[in-house]
Amino acid sequence: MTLVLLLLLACPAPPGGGGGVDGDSAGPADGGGDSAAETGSAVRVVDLPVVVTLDGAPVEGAVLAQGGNPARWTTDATGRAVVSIDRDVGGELSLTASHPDARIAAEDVEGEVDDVLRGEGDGAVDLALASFDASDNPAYLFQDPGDPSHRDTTAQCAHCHITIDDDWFGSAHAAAARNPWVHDLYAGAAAARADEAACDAAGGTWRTGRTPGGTGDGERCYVGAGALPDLNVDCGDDVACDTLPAAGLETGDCAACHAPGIDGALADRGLHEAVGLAYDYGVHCDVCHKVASVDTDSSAPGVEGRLGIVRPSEPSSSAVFGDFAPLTFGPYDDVPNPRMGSVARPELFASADLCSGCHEYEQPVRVVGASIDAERWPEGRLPVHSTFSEWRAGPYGDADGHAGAPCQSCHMPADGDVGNSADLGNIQGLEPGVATGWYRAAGAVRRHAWFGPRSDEVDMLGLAARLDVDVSVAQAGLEVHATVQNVGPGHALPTGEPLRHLLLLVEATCDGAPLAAVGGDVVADYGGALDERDAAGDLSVWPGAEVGDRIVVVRRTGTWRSYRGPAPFDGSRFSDEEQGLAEEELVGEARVLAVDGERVTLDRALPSGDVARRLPGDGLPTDGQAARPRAGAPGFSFARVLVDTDGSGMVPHHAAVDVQSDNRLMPRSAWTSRHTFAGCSGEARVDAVLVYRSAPLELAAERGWTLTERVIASAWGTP
Amino acid sequence: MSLWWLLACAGSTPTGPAGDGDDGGRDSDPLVADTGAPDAWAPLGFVAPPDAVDIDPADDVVHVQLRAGGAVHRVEHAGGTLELAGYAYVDRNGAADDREVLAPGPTLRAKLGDTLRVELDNGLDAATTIHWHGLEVPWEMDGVPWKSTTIAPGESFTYEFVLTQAGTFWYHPHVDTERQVDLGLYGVVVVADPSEPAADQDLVVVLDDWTTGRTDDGWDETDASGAHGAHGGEGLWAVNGRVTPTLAAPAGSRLRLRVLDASNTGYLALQADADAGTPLRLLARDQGLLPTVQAPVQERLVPGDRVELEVDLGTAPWSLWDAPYEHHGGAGFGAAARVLTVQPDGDGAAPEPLPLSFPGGAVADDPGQTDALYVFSGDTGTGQWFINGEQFPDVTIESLDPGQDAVIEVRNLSPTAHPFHMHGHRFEVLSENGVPSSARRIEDTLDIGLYGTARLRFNADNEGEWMVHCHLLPHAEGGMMTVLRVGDPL
Repeated sequence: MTLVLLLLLACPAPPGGGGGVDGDSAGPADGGGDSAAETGSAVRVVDLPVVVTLDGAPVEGAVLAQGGNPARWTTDATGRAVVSIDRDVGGELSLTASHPDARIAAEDVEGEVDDVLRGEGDGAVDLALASFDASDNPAYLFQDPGDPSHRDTTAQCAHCHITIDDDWFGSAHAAAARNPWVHDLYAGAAAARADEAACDAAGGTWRTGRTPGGTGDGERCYVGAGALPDLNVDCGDDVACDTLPAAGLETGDCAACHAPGIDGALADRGLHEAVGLAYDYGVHCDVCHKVASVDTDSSAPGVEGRLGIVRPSEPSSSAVFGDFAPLTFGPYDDVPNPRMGSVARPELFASADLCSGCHEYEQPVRVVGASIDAERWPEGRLPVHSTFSEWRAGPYGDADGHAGAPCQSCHMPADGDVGNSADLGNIQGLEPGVATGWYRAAGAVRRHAWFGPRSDEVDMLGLAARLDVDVSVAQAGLEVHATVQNVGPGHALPTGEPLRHLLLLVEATCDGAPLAAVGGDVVADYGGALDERDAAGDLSVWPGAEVGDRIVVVRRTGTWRSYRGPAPFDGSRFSDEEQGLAEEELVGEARVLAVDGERVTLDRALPSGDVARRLPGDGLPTDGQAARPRAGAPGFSFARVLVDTDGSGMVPHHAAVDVQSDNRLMPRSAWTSRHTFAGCSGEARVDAVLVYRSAPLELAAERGWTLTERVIASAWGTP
Repeated sequence: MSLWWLLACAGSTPTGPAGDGDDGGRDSDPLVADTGAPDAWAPLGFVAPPDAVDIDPADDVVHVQLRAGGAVHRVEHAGGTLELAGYAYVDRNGAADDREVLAPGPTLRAKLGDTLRVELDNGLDAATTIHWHGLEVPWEMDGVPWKSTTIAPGESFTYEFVLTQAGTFWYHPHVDTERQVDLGLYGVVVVADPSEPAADQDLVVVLDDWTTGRTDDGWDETDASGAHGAHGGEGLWAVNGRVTPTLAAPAGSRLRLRVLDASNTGYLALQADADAGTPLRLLARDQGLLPTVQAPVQERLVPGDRVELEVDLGTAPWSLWDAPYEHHGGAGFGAAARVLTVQPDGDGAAPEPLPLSFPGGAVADDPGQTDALYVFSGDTGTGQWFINGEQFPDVTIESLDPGQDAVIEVRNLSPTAHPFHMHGHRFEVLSENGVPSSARRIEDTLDIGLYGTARLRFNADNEGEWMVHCHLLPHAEGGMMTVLRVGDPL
């Protein structure tokens, strides 16, 4: 119950006057205060007149706070405000002032409060702010975040911010620069092919190249597409371009988000320039908290453009702090510790704009000799990462001035177990104050784990989708409708890296035995196959087939599906054909009963079609099992399909020259697929699962990546 | 000059609550101008709200006349007395000296099968209703303004329905809910099962966290101070309006405590004699007796939740404690705080427990299908709260057939926990976070933790358009409410 207090004490002068003693002070100038009084209690609230200057001149709009008190006051045009100091707030009695152009400053006001209580003065406080140099300083060296095994001194953020560091260290952000998949796609390599024989077996080339994260070269396996070999002339054949200095190379902007902590210039850096902290810690504390602003109109990703990085230029006053005065941007306006050099950016750090620095990226066609289809993409760029714009267009977005729920709502929830980002409470013997901070209101400290599809602690994928199946008996057999809906995320499902995709898989049984599919929708080609061939040929001859294999025959209908995906694949720009989702339907399925040389015996005759695919005979996957070929099986697929110059789909984005289709599910949107199975005279049952894959099976197989089937939803039904 | 200052300096004249935001002068009809000096109460003694007077002589009808109006609440604690302007329900037929406790309002006591008839006069400066939390009442009696009218200031309405569930329930407005409940409009409904043995004392224990959060513009709906526990307790948890009261009871007596969390956002983690780790003797939750008596070390209560505890008092004092916990899903800081002490009088030995017949029963199967899915989302910073990406009243109505054996799934993708509450129906908790319930559990309010899920099964046997919402009242007010249609009630 939150109730208005009725004073029983004599009321003082109305607010806005000078200092004074209140049983209950006047309300703060801009709301938010809580100056309670209780009958019979000691004086609790003392008003102090404050003047704040910026570079010597009174400043309007400075925010004043008593450490540990959630109330805030804002200075007027003369730099003045009257602040009600609550003596019941624990810890040092300090007043802080913040301004967007200055580091936060603080004054100990215990003496002023005592003066007022003794009637010996008005308690006037002067707080002087100094504007910081807002230019970026490439000479600054990013600070060591530390990690759970390495946080012995205050030189590491983790020394005090223990819980946050633990969260971050386990996150994808921390691993962004050392992610082996990223390096494989950067260099056209396969780190998992660890010796020459394995490399040869994968069709790769074993030669000298740069070891990721190191400063030297070593023997590596080069295979497949890669940003360096694909985007630079004369790279990739005889020369592993990663051995060369990045200068002059087209690097694909990878480092701007994957290794933003490379010291020195922020633009045109190669991923192999990430060594030491920049490699080990990826997106770390001192990178995000050097973001002073975000330019959401910039097409340059990360620290190259969208993120306005400001590294300090002022000389340090203490060797403890390094060469330059500490400078940290963050959400709080009451952190006066000089070790932090904090500048308040509460709106920015609570906004999706901050995340958009890297989670929104449109790229030009970069492949040498290729150009973009200007009619199709008049902006001259292809949408690659569009999580921010997907969110903005969805129910939780901030379009039309709607406040919504930003990324942090789901991905950085409050930490209910800590009361201060510096783990106050774990630091024994220290009183809350300037050095350690004060206890914050519940929910003010956010988790830094960025829960997402790879989180162990939280099954975000398991909360994302709804799957329903409806089964009926029709003349042709069992008629099944499977509906997949994006019910959780505020962005498309899946989102982010466009290699990610969803597969819907549907199976039917009759009295427990598999029922053959005879029609309906199928998993797209990027679901992978053991092999495939023209279905017009003799399917009784199939080299390599094994007993139990499934053969599915698919027909391409020549029509295009109508769907509404993320913009511009939402029907606003393209026709159905231009939206590029070709209709394929299953026409028959059989199992291999026997193999005699290259000849196979099938359990049923297969009708003709356009393509026949061989799949393993196992059934629906269980969560976490190794990915298996699924293309052509009863089901459906959801992905943003990038294509390269050869027209191949689901390629790494550096190689993209077009977006063929994008039928990922926007928030709250659903897709219903149709499937027909043979008739059943016994007990029929249909099972369906929705599988998340982080990369296409074929690409994973080429690089030796371990790809698992993440079953994120399941459903079953009977007629 | 701020509104706050005006109110603060208005002297002891009761005024309307500051929630009006603009003038503070639209006075409610005062129910109690001045309850007298604080020392009219025994210091920190336990007080219970009065039982409402039944004016119908029939044995199977309970007819009560309530009035809602402005009031001054006094919250006593060891350091003094908070005086707070608010609202209250009073019994028009109650004795004047029964009006010391204004929040909770009068306790409505009836028995299973009775008809409950409640006349409500609205003496507030705003429209109001009564919602019967946890009771399966006819839709038109549910007190929600979705498709029915509210009670205008100066008007009256009579609620009438048959009580088909035994247990502890509560009543509160369901219009302008966050503010009106906050100001003190709530009370308990006790529906006794005549077949159960009576305790020596059957007491309502209503917990509410009282704070003074407000802004110059009125109510601070994002006031974190309601989130009890993060700092070892920001607000003052009061028991029937008193902080840490002591109840004197004869040694050897059996007490049945009907505990309600009536706060807007405060979570409780109740435990008995925390230092000793003594388990609670838990008889019932939201919907009456548990399958068997339980002895949890700690029981979490979320806004809207009820539990019934039995205390079999010997010569040793018994205390109820609240451990730090808040709706962001953690313990925060601070130590457990004593909420209530029971002080034995005399030398009687602890009696045998009440010979209650617990109903037993197995957990229902999960049939697999999901008939309605509710995903909670939102943000503490923006104050925007959603169910399925929608905000009340612009919502998609899910429909069920009358009598349908239905399963609801709830998912939480937001930065706080949410107490899921459904009107018109109780539900069985099939599983939480994918883990099947270990014992049959019937609720009407269930906490869904951060990233949590729950599957709930119920018989959709009460036709109507029913509210489904988070019972953190700022969240419901911020949009986290939707409608479930059963049948075709219109």
